[in-house]
Amino acid sequence: MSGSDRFGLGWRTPLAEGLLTHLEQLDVLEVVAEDWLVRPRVEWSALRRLARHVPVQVHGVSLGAASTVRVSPARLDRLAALIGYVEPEAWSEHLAFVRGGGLEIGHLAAPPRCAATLEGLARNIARARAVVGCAPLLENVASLIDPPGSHCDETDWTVDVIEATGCELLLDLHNLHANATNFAFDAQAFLDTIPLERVGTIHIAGGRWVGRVLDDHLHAVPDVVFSLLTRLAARARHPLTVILERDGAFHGIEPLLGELDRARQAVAEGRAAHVVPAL
Amino acid sequence: MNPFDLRGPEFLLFYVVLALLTFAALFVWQRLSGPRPSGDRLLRDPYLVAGLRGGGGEIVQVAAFSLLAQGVVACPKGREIHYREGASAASLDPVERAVVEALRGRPRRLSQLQKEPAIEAAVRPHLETLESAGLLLSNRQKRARVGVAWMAAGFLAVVAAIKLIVAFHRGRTNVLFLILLAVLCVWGCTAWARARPRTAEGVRVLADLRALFGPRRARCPSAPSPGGSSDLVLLAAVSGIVGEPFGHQAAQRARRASASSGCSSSCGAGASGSSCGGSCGGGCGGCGS
Repeated sequence: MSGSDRFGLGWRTPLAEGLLTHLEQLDVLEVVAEDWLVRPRVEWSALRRLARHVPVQVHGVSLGAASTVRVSPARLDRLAALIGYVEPEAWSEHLAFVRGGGLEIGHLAAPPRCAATLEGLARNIARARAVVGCAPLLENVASLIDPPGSHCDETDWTVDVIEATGCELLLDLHNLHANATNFAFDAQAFLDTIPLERVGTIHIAGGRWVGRVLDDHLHAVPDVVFSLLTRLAARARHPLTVILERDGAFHGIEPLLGELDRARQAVAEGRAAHVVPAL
Repeated sequence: MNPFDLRGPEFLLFYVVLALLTFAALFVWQRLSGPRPSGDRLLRDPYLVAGLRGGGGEIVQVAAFSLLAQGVVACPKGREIHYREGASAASLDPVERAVVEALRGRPRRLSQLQKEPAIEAAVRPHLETLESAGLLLSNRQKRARVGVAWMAAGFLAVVAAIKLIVAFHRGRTNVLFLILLAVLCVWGCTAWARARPRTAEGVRVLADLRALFGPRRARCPSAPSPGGSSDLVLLAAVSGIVGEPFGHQAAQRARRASASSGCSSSCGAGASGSSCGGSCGGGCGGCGS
């Protein structure tokens, strides 16, 4: 089973030469949709060309689907055009809201975990699915504050989201670790509770301590995230796709490839200690 | 209506339109005469990229830059490149090996290296690979392009000449603008014939690579790892080496890059000032993504 697990990196232009030079070591690449949506369409052919050589996932950061606010049709249309042109293997968005009351927050904010948000999210995902042609993977977000107005915890929220939208989960293990630390819940119990067969892709990343865990994507992946990855691999039956995210403080490609090797090792350890979930 | 009966300004306008149509025809001919762009070729060999971008001379420059970054050659004071005695020249690319051989015992300038027959011979297979891949024009295609360019130039020159004869025959001598315009058009045709011999697919492949690498000013090249610099060389091949890469400062930068694990490396003078550690488009730092 571990033979078909896949490991990749987020495409960042400062890493372009390293990523291309070491493409054989990468099973998948993730590109940020907004990096390309702002560019002329003629440049999208570069992304399509890349997607012909390595599986590419398009990762959106500005749809703001987890909201009672309707997602912008224009934004959705352009995203659909990009995805239709590039033909990635999957696309993803965040379980976050990024605007409200006519204001752009400029931040992926964790929404109130309540029925109204869930209904709004389901409507927005249905629209996205209709326009793009397929549903996104939905990524759990990290937060420094527990969203006010929440009626359930993160574990129940995640399960409800999967049921309400029918989407697969893009499970960010550092976000999970950050929230588990910041709001004192058990990340491993979270993994034991959610339907792991609905986890389509996994993000790993690093952050720093600012009185709480800040998911800044500027630091090495902490050991605890690799431990979570091992636990997840031990329980999941299906092949996993693991993508390392780094947004800055680049020191070349080598350290990132090293972290990816650690991820491979963590998954291999989990596979070796495969746990049959209790019925 | 006989266009040669048009008065001066009207004929100049007619001539400009005719010239634009001629250049458009040249462009369309080039697009249609080469292989159809397939959209699936992704060049990753730095010497193929350099050859596509700037021909054989660029391959030699990138090879010399690679050797400089690896510490095999040095450029201590000026533009002359020295082989560093004792530096390991094992596992080098054939072009790099040819450059090293040319430098043994005799420092040379880059321009001299680019004209060295042995180096040209080492470069040639890269160019042939690009030609066989349909990214560069073959010799036959280049000859055809020159022929078409001269036909276009001759057509525009003949039209101008006929108008000049008609004008002189009618006693008009204010033909300076027409002569200048005709000369400009003929020069344009010959310049097109001498342009980089890329096919439409070659142009697209290079444009896509540049799009993947993003704007140069935002680039922060990876530092070459000790004993190897393939990442940096690919960046140099795509983005080009600007300024004086083989001057004293560039040598210092390359040495720093080799010794550093950070991003203080230079990819030519043009990239040396780029910042490191900035946001990279995801914009997700600290935003919970």
